[in-house]
Amino acid sequence: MNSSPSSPPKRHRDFEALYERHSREVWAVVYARWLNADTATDLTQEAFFRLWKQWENGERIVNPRAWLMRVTRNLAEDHGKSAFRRNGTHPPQTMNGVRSKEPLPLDRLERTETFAQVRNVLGELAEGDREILTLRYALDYSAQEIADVLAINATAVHMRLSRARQRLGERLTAQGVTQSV
Amino acid sequence: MRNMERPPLEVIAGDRSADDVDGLLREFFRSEMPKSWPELKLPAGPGPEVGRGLRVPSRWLLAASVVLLLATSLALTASFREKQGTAVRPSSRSTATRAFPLPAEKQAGVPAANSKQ
Repeated sequence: MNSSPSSPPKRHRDFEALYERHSREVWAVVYARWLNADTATDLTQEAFFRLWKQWENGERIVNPRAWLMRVTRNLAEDHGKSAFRRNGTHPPQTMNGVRSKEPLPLDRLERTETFAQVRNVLGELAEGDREILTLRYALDYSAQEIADVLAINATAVHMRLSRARQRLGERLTAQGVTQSV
Repeated sequence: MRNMERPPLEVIAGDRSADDVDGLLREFFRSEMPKSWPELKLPAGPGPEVGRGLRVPSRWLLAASVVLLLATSLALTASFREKQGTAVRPSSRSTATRAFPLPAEKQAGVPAANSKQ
């Protein structure tokens, strides 16, 4: 889609369509970086806000998806630098393990524990692995859709996804979360 | 004939335990995503056609600023050189004389008292 400014009501509608089309994958890229849903939501809004400012300034962006991905990755990196200033060496995702004082039902407790282990294991993987896993399992993207987002070919997606999944599976098995792969 | 269509990604992963991992991952990531997707929030403000006047792309403003800065610095440099030229020329000799006055005996060509001949 060639993003070019137009009359304001149409511009709003076009931008909303762009948001609807790409906001989830932007969210997924940030989530893969920080494993924090709130951070992903905030930075997604910021990325689209910056794109909107470009539109308001009359800037033409030929490939808004690529632009969004680039800006999103920069925002995620900048967030890391400011997070270090706020939290020291503790990354934001450690706060996800903070528990409520209310006792949880057993099944919910077990699920929470399992998900905490999954999050820890994901944190040990390379960011590239997390990205591809997030796009696949959070958004149910096909190999071609993932290839379009990451600007690689579908064959590379299959290969990288298979390896990432294997690495993750091995670590989950080692921690007793799943049976051997 | 060979089937060129790639199988689903889950089948590539392998056996039944692979399905467990897939199911777990899907459940995990879905639980992490917002339950209702956040609405787009755009800043409220007047559109470009309401009271903004002339809209100039930022790159043109930047170029104009750079040109103005260069022109101003050149003008200041030229002005400074002019003033320096008029200020230095009339007093250059008198300044040199005052800075390095010759002793009276050398001025008259008389050798110094300690000099060996």
